[in-house]
Amino acid sequence: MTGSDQAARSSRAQGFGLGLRPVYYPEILAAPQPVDWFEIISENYMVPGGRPLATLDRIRADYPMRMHGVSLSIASTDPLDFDYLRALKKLVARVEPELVSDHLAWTGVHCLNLHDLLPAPLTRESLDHCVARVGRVQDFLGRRIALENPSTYVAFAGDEMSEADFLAELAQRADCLLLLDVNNVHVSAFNHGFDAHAYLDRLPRERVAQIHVAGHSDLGTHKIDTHDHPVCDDVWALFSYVQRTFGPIPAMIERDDRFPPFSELLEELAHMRLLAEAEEREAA
Amino acid sequence: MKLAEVQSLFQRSVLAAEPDLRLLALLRPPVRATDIAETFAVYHDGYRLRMAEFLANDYPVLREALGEVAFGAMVESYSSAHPSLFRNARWFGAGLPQFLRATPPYSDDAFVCGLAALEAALAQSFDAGDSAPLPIEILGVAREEDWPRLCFGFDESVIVVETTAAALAAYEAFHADECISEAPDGAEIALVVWRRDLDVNYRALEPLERLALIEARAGATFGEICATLAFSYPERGADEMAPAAGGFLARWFADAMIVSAAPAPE
Repeated sequence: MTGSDQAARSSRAQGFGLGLRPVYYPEILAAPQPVDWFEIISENYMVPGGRPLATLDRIRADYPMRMHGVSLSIASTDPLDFDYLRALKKLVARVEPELVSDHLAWTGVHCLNLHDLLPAPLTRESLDHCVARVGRVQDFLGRRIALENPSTYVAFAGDEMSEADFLAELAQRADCLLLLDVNNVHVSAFNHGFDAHAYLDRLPRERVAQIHVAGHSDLGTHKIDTHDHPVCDDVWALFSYVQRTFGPIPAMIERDDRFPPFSELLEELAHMRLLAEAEEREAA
Repeated sequence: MKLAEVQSLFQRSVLAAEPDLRLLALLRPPVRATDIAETFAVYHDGYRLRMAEFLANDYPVLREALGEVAFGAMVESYSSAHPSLFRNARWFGAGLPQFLRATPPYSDDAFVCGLAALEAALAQSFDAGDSAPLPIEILGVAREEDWPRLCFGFDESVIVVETTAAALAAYEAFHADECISEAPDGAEIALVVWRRDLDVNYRALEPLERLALIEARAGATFGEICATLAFSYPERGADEMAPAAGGFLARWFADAMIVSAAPAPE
């Protein structure tokens, strides 16, 4: 086993988490919750001070945390933003997260930020570009990062490989980890007409350090990764498949809109545990 | 086409009213939609929805006061003039008050400009940098001859905001769950916004205190503050100014606004 594999495994202890969102602060602060860890949106806490950071510190004192960014823009052809990376590194030092992740995406060029996860062309040029940038980011942060497969709504006619192959080669060449968003696989498979299971089978499972599941919106002709619905049965089935074939990996539910009562999210998390445990029993 | 060109074209197509046909030609035909523009709209329309959401989060009272249609037009106008340069969406709307003050028809509307200024100041104060307030007892150790040279450092959350009485009334009505309406009182007022124990506070400033606070935050010494007040308000006796400034100073300490105090170098 290489040092990289050992590091990947060490971040794979099973656990079930939730995205930390301010709307749930009162419940989280009021009493211990059956949540193994919380994942924060890094940028929400890349602020000078005040209540966001004070609350973060209070919750961090009671729970392990993972950091998930939306603005690394790893696939952008703009230069890396070292002001952003310095702020990220400062937050990493404060939070001491189990994992730092972002997306295989770009958010803008020419110094603009569209605040969206825009699709990277799946070409050799794009792959080489991302490999080099992941290496520089990891060197700067002094740790490995995980990159998440995004939901995409358009694909480029000039793509030279599948997204799964792109991610697999990126992870291997840059020695980074992957964050597998099962809902995004489902959404993109529907939007682009590929087989979700075949996609999953091509990922290097030893590199997958975390799993996301979430709800989405179905517009008939395409699905959108809105995180505003409960997780649907198809995504749960895909999650079970991942548990069965990849083994135990830290997994969590993302919810970012139409927030249900916290108790409902906990029920969804309990369902996730049951599914994972069922697959584990089956495997044993 | 090189990666950088593809990304430029993609971004232009998101920002423009209609996607560039050269970009659409680079995309695979959709699986189910009849037109690739339909799925590209997830990015195109999503961008506008997100910008509106960011501004609505930072300016909820302004949104309520303007109504959906007018607020949407303002978002479009601001986003076009100032697309986000920030990695953190938190800062995207910070320039809105300046934009409104400089851009007709908003620049003619003191209520709208004042409301935006107030909400921006409250948002800025909310997550401004942390620092420990200084107890007023620290002044007890200052020698009498040092007082004119004393200058003060303020917590980053302390902001002087120029707004209108109507804007303040609208803000307070909104947060009291009351209907807001553009009150007839268009009088200009100044407020100080600051954070204490993580909570954002505000209060009105009388003209004399407003001037003293602006001077103090700019680094003026206690003596310079007194001199500026005396110069600006010649109708009041110069000997009134030191006690007045001392009173303001005591209140700033009591409000936990001051984080440092030291004599300026001679």
